[in-house]
Amino acid sequence: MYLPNEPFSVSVNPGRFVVVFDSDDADVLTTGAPDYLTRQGFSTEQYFPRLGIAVVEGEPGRMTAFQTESVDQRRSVAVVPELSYHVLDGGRRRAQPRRAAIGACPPAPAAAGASESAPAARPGVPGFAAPGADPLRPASAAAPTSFADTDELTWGLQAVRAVESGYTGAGIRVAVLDTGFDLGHPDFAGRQVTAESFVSGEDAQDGHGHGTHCIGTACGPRDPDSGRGYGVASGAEIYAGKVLGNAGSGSDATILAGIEWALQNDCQVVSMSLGADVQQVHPPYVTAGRRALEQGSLIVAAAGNNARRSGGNPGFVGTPANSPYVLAVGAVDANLGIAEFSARTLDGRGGQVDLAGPGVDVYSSWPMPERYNTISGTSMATPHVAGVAALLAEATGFRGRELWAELVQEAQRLQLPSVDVGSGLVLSPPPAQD
Amino acid sequence: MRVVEWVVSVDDAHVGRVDDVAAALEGAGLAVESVLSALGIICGRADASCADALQRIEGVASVAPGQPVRLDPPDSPVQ
Repeated sequence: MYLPNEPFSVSVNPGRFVVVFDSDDADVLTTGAPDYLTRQGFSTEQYFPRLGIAVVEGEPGRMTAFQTESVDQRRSVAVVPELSYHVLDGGRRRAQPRRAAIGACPPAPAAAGASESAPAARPGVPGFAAPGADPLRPASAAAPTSFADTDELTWGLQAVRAVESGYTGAGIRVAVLDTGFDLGHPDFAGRQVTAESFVSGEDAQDGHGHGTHCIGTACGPRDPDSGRGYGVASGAEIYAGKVLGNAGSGSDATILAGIEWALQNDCQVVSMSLGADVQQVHPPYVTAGRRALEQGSLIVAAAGNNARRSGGNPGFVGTPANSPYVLAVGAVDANLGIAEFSARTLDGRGGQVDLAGPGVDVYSSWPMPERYNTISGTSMATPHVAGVAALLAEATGFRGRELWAELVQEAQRLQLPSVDVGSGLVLSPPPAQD
Repeated sequence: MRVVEWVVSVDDAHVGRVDDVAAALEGAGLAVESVLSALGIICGRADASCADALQRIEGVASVAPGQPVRLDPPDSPVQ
């Protein structure tokens, strides 16, 4: 039993190894892996098919050969020494303090006196997946905590690691429900754009700028003809739903009509950089968010700009972002600090900030002739999250609730209160492996 | 008499019969403007005093007054 206040030590079990088969293929896990172990002369008595993990006995040299051969056969197999965990008797504490005991153990079997060719000393071998680490996200050095726009990329694209990802949102439909879109913007020439207006008496052309800016962040180019790249999901299909008029105002009827349209068009991501500074949860968005998730569509919305933090007012998440089935997005600045205006979690179900995105001094597209504009707001953070959601949807195939969970799980934790940034800074998926 | 926008959510049991619920809401005084079948939501206009009458219609989960949303002007540094 694990006793949280007890010191403990870790030791290597000589001659015993844990073999991890990194596969999602059920046939591999149920038959392929144990057959392979048997052919290699190992016992499958302690093979756990649901985990794809075996504990076997063998000499370190034999295990090294096994690892090498597995790599040569392009099998994703990792071999590490089995460890034992010992609670230290409080009255007869061993000489090693707890921290030293942990530090002294892995990597082994080198620590257990094994040869230099021990398998755990081969982490650089292609195809070797270290157990315990997600092979899709290799452990990296400390993530940078400060960014700046360069000639190539906005700070926001750098912070969410969009380009490194390699994914572009190809095959994913992103609906941005806002003030429409500048359909003649040169940065989007040749892009697949579907535009529709739900505002009476106005076409889908953006007469405000807000919509064009948000679409630019979510789905704009990473390598435009002029200026720096600014779009997260540069390969996604764009659905520009005009639900706010050129004066910037809209109603539930227009916004909900836009969500309905996004669902009818199978948009996997719906970005809504809009809201009202109202604390009370608005029932229609509870219904809409839930039914969207059931139909494989994730709605992300701006937490709100009602904080004045320097004046001691942290604000609150307004509607529709405070609905339990709508993912609420707060804003951080280029030093990954909370933005002055970014609203804090509201007490009650659904009122939390779920994630944070770049939302201060965000450069993106603007209706011609200005072409570009740099502005701030949780409205600018939201399409960063929507764009990353498209990349993750492409990379993983996840939709709806699973996509929500993946976004939250993969976010970079920040040294900030969760009431301000939820699970932290949204991050793009790591590059695909061969 | 003060006519306002109402947003009516249909319960899960009636989400496949949104048109029937909309017709019943019409009978209770709602001038239906949109029926959103994928969402199970009906928008329309009726007198501000109609909420209770609309809420009593079979298949209605919630009745909420429409809420306006307004962005800051385009030249605002924070949006």
